[in-house]
Amino acid sequence: MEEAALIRAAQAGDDSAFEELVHLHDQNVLRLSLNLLRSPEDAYDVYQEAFLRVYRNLDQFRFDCSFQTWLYRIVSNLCLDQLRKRKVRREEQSHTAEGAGGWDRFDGLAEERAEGDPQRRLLSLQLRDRIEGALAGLTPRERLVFELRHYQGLRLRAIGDQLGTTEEAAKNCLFRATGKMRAALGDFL
Amino acid sequence: MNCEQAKSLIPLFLYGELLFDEEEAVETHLESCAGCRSEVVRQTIWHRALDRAALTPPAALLAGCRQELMARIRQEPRTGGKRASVWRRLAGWWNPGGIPRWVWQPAAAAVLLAIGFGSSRLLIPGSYRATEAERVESRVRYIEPEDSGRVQLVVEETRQRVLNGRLDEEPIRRLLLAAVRDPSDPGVRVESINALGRDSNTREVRQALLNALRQDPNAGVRLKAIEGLKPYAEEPETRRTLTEVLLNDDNPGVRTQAVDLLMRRREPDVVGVLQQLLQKEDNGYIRMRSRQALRAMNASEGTF
Ligand SMILES: [Zn+2]
Repeated sequence: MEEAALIRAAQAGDDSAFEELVHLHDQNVLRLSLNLLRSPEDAYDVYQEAFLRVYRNLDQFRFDCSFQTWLYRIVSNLCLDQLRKRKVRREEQSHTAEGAGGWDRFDGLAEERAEGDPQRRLLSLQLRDRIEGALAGLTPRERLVFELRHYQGLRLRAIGDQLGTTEEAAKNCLFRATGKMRAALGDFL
Repeated sequence: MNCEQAKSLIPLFLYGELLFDEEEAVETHLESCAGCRSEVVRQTIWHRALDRAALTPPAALLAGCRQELMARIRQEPRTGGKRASVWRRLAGWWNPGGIPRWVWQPAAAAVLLAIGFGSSRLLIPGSYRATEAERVESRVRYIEPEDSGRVQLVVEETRQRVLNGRLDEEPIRRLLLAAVRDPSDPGVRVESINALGRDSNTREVRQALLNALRQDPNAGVRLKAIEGLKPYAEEPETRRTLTEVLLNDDNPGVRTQAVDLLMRRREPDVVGVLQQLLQKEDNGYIRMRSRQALRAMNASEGTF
């Protein structure tokens, strides 16, 4: 079934159509939230909450934007909330052991291409630490825009749509994000 | 454009997000400036480094997410009367009248009620293996309404876990071979046939494909089975089964695939079959293929 047909069937109460609809998009949703939040548990929660919201509000989807835009808007907002909450928490706890150990749990998650060559592996671990640090230095909004553009390959115009802002504002946001990333990684690469 | 201006635009240039004129200006500058060209190279390198830092969600995480989502959705209150009530749906499932007999067998008619997941949250401590934690799914096997308005359910609880492995690994193959015969879910049968078909060079797997082609009530499953049998189109048993299918399958799509595969090798043994087929076949394509084949073999279209 085509996406539009699936949406209509799901709106009419067909749960298996809803499930199929979820399967069209959920890998991207999970990838987006995992990469933004760098935590499988949080990504898991965002996945559940996002699709439950979709399920509850599907009646209100009127096809005036693409389903993906609608879905990503929901996911983006949930991720932004989560990132903001974390930022507040981190500021309150005044920089405890954040960052350093964070990557260890991802050893099984991230693709490990350097495996087998200890020197390259070490370099790639250091690099990941640096990248993680650089990403953590972005504001939640910059982080989201950077993720959507760099990793999800969305055009700035679409990102603007999704965040309820202009292409120009998204562009400025990406510009600041890449500037900070470059400053953080510059001497390493 | 000077170097400072060019450098400030390179990040957006690399994402293809500059305005047309800006892009032109940057390109012109790059042609004549080695310094800025090497900056482009440098930034391209860290793009690639960033790419490598991307996380890929493990299959187990996705499977866990999907499973819990559907369980939660089944517990959602239905809105506005648009969505059929769970109970009405259960009643529908319960009535064996409308369900073909083959489904109505001991292992079948699993109902979509999932209650009380053991651990609703998936934790991934050290590594990804931990996500293989078992989950409990509850399926209703028997429903008996009581006069008081209450209802008695017999629930079967199954543990679920995620397995990941190659097709030639024994447990994986064994499970797939069993899934091919799972009467409750044609979707699972299609996927298992599909997976098995990719590595069909054991006798056991081929037999499973032949059985599915002969017996599966779902045309999608039968089509997948034909696909998996393609490399073995010349074996006598495959040809026998294809002949059978050609004469008896009620789905024209399946018959079309069968005739095509069978006609890859035109042998005298199919003449009788094709003549018989022409007597009863009403699908134009299949009739045409049969006639072509008969003509190529210098055989007549009639049975006499
Ligand atoms: Zn220059």
